[in-house]
Amino acid sequence: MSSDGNPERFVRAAMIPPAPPPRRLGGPLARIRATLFPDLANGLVTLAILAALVWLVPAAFRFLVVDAIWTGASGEACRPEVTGRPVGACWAFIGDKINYLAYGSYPAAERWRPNLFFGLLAFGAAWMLWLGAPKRAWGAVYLFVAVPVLAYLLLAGLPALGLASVATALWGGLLVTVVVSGVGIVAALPLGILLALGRRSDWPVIRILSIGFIEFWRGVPLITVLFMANVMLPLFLPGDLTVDRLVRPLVGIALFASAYMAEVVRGGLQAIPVGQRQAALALGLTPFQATRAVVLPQALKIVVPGIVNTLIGLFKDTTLVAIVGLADFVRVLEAARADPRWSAPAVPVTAYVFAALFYFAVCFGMARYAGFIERRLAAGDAR
Amino acid sequence: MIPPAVEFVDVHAWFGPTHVLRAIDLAVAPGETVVICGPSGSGKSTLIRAVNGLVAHGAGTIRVAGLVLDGSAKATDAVRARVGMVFQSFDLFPHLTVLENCTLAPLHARRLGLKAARDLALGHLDRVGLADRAGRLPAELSGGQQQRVAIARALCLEPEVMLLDEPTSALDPEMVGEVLAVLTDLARGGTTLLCVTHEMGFARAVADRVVFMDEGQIVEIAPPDAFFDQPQHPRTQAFLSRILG
Repeated sequence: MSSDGNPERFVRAAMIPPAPPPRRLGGPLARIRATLFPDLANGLVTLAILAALVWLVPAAFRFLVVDAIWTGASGEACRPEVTGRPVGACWAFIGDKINYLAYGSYPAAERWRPNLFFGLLAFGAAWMLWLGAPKRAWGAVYLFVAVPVLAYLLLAGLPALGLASVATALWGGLLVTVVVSGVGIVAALPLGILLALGRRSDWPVIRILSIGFIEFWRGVPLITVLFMANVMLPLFLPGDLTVDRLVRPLVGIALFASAYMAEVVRGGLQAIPVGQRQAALALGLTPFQATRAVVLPQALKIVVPGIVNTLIGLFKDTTLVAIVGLADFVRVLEAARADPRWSAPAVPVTAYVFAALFYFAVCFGMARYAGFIERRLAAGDAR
Repeated sequence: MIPPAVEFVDVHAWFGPTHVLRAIDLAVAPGETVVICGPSGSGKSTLIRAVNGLVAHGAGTIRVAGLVLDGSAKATDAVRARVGMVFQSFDLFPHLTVLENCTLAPLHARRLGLKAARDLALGHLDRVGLADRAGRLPAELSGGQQQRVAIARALCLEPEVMLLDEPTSALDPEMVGEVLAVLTDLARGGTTLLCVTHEMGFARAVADRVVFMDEGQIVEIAPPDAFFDQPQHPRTQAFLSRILG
């Protein structure tokens, strides 16, 4: 470096405009590289998944949308030899049977009653699930007390109110699935909590009864429970006392699910340090108050994933009631696809795809909602 | 003579086969500050947990504010409503805000109205210097602040006796001072304190009497100056020389 001369001639007069980062370090290409192809193994997995998607997505789209038959009055519309083109899903069949799938054999003139029930239920569910809703305590009373009573009056009927009786044998489809899983969920959660508390009780009688109940119901397959409820229960009851054909499996499912729920809740109770209970007792709270205000809220928060897991399992298990002759959603779908008027190769496939989509949508919705709740609760911890 | 706030007469307690309290005789006068020290496993925590029935004693008589702890739920509830307790690990309720932690006992155990409970809680939070944190969750506070909330929570019972089970042992050293300052303030304010602690400076400055326990027994009881300067019992001397170095 020369020391003579004017040093200022080495100083720029104008700023150089900022240059974009090298392409390997910034921009969308670099991001794709970093997330999808960071190294050889991950790159191969990415390629394999891409190949699977390229193979599956267009095929599924073609089956579900492009080649699907949307209108038609019978199976003829869904036969490739009639239409003269490849046939995908036969949505016309679902459209034709939609009322049967929703209500089963519920009399057509009375279908406003299940509709009103669905509406009341949806309103209550939205009230409870929307965390910012006003007066959620009343929402709980509405959903867990008012809706079951109204549902019974509406669906079964009460001639005194001008609602004709509808035998449960006529109920079917979505209605039965919603009633069975709804009763199961509404009963399993509180019963499960009581059983979990009972299992940890200091009183031996309560503890032993709870353990016995839980282990009995967990040790028996649900199918056996349903058969027992359906066939054996009437044998044990006095001859003139009959329990409704729908109620029997309902009780079985509710008790079965509550045993599983109890074990999930117990896991949460055991995770709460004993100091929490002692601190509550030292503040003068009764054991009941300490459980309700201090231990249980923390325990339930921990086991949200387990509770949702159990509820999803319960929802899918309700399909088993078909075995004891209840016309649940899958059962009416089976019956509908056997309709000779709709005999076409595409119809059974469509029926099962529709069932899969329905159950997936409900279960995925439950899982997503649980994820949202978990994130909210976790945010409360980190705050 | 004024009846004692807390009185032990020949109290014994067992955990299974282990004899954890042996023939405890102790009377704590109203307004008195008693510091309990001793090696780990000596029964200090058991002793103060017996006062509010968190540990059941097997034999002897415990009287708190004139009530005999006879193991019945009625007596236990009545005693717990008069006795505040602060734990080593704070044990704040993590799902409730600072204010809700403090209003829990007034609302549930004392059946105050919401407004009265809030005013009471804010008053005691102000006393420990944390009224501005009323809306926070415990996890947002430092250890020292959490322990001060725990003290305010216990004070919301407006207790006749405060039990403190190693209140500074779980704290970082720089937070010990703020908690001890609150406790000193309480002791000088005339609250009856039973405090298990290893803070010998606090014991010397604030305690009216120091109790030394070992192997479930009370070995020595003395005013702090005598206790630290002329310990009588050899076990006390050994303990003090170990912890004071």
